[in-house]
Amino acid sequence: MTARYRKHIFFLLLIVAASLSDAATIPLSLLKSIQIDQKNDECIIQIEFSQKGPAYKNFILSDPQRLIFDFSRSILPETHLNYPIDCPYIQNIRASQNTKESVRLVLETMNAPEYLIKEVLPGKFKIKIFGENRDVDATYKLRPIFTNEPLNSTNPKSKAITSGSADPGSESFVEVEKIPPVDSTVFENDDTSQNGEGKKIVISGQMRNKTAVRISTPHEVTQIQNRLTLEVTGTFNSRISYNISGLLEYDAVFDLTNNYSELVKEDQEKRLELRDTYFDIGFDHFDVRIGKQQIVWGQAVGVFFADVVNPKNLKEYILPDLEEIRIPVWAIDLEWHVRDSTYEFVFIPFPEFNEFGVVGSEFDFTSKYKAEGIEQRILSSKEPSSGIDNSEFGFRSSTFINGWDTGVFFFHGFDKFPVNYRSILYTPDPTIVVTPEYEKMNILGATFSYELMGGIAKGELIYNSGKYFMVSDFNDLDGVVKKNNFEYLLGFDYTFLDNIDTNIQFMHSMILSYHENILEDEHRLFLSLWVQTSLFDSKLEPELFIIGNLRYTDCMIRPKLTWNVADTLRIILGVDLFLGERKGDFGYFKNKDRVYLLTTYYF
Amino acid sequence: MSLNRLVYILVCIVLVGRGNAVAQSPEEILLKSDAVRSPQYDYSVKARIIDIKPGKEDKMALYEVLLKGRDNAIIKTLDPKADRGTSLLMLKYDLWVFMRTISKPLRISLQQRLFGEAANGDIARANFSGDYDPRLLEPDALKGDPCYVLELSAKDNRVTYHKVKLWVKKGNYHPLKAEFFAFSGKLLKVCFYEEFKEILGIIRPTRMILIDPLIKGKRTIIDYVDMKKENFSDKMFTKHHLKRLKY
Repeated sequence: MTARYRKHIFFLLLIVAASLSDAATIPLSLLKSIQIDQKNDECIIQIEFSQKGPAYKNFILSDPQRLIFDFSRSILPETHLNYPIDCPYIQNIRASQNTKESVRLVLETMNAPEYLIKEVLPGKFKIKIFGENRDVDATYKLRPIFTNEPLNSTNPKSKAITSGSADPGSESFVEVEKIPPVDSTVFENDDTSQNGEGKKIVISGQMRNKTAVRISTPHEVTQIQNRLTLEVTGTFNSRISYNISGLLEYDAVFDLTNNYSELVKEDQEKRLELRDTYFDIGFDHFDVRIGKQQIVWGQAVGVFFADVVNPKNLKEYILPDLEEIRIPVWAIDLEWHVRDSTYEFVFIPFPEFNEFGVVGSEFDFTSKYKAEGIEQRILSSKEPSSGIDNSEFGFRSSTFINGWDTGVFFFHGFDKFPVNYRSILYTPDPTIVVTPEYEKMNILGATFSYELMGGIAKGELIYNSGKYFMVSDFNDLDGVVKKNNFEYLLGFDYTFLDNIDTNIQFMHSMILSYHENILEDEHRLFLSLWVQTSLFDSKLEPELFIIGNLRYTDCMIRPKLTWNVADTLRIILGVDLFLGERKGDFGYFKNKDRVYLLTTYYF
Repeated sequence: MSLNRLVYILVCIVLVGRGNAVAQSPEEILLKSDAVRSPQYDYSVKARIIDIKPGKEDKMALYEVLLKGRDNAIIKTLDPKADRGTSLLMLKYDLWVFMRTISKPLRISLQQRLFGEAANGDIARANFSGDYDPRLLEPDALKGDPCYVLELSAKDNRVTYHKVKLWVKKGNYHPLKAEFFAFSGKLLKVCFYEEFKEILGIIRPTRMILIDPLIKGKRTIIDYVDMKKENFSDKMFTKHHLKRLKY
């Protein structure tokens, strides 16, 4: 290689080296200021450099006792600094240029205090010396003991954090560093890999007590309900998982008071029930759930509308959570997913029906349509026998496209409310005999939701074909007539001020081809409002639900306050008020106003 | 080719190459920074969120986050126990929540707050590049590290923040800091990315500190752990599947 070549290659190497070294050069930081403050027996020392953030090392030396802080890539404007200070545990602060590129800060101490150092901003460090009280949240007003530039520097780098602060002169020392990064042991009970082969069994549940007192006269305790709910979930492999849940319930009000009859006690004192218990089997585009389950269609909040598949436990009217009211049914639920759509088929071989409180229970429906001045006898309801003819099935198609979440469904099954066939016995005395039976009908429905103006607009439409209604005409042989009925719900959800969740819903139900003998109104109009917020860092969550019948101006008002005592403990204080005419759905219970306390422990 | 010409060409290559290293487009910088923050394939990660307020007890929650592609995410609540079983599904800007007490998915807005300072979008929207148009500002330095500074403008008005200012470390594209602004220009929160560790072959931040600029000492810390590569099916990210999520 000639000398000329060597010269060119050397030149090239210089350029490359310059390119690389440009990236590596970092200027040294100049110590700008040292400030301190003392409160009680603690003190805080702030060390600020001109730029960037020198790395630091800290250690303790003895004889004499001193805390050492070495800041790399930094220089001291003077040869050394030495300041006696008046802190209980620190006598003196010294700073010197330890090496060409590091500044050493020395705190001379009388003993070995507990301390913490943190880089609070780029180039700004705080050292806190703790006293006996260890007040981590104390605020301080720093005063300079050394400064290399005016203290009210308008360094824009610091503004991003402190802009808007109420008092820029004082700061809280937040020990973020004391929170170690999380490791997997925090999640050791959550082997929840969706694709995993794990056979881990997870047991969870809750224990709760619900005690209710009637506000209306007579003032009585109406419920001392104790419940244990257990749920076991597990997986056999990546495709098959299972869920078993059940509840055990005992209401002590029947043993501790004489407020109810033996009939009611027998109906409501104890309950042992299998709840959602099923296998889930997943394929690439199919999912199947086989077992006892809840199949929920619809968008409504707080009310049942397109919720047509599962029967309801109405012994406590519609006051419990919807998930508690729904009765799981044995069913096969098959879902097929294709791009943006899901197609669902459900088959229910053994239909089940709504449950009601017996005569004399707190929320007894049975006498709502009782004729005045005439004896009435209600026979036990006749449930259909098991068999393929009495099974139920339904289809649903859902699509999410361009922000519209839509669904249409068809359900062929029993009306979960019995049809109260009526006959009249004239001897020995006129008596109405009511024979509740269950009839099938077809339900066609549609649901939608769409994000609108920062909220969610939603709706449900239901067409019931072949629904039975009671008539007042005693000449009618069976006391019922078959009609079609159309219902719709329109609702809007919105969150105000990022913290107040609201929902408003309008509901309209109309009987088609109506005639005046039908006991139920041709048009039933309802309006509901729900509001919830959180206070004191979600420690308290007040909530209000109001639903009103616009025709009879009766309504139900349900305020409640949830206290999240701890991660596993929740207490709810609530009031259920029924107002308005007794002819209405809610005014019918106007003498059942109550206050309740619900305490739940989760495990 | 003469030697002088060869030298000239090599010098140009070096200088141009070096120039390319500093004159990248803001889109490239943002994409690379997103790739550092979050893998660009399906993955799952667990998150611990600690909400800190001065003078008050810290609050903690645990979540598992499942991400598919750039726009789809599921957040499963593992703790507190009272909320265990609550799941969120995000399909770009559309959100559903599933709670055991309701047993059906409810559609909600992106603004509803999940926990503390962390909105749903903070936890589950992993990519800035999908949501924002970037613009390069004057470079800056943080903790001694030279940084690109990007100004990100929301592409859609449903995005959690109208504007973001993002500091990306030169050389390795580590995100270091972000400032989030409302439409009014008000600074809503400041985020620091910390605890960089090698995960799935790349050094990534495993801690986000979200600071409220108006209330001193108020902040939320999100720690990520146990990030795993996954292969999620499309059907899993539908509202119908929320009831089938394993807990």
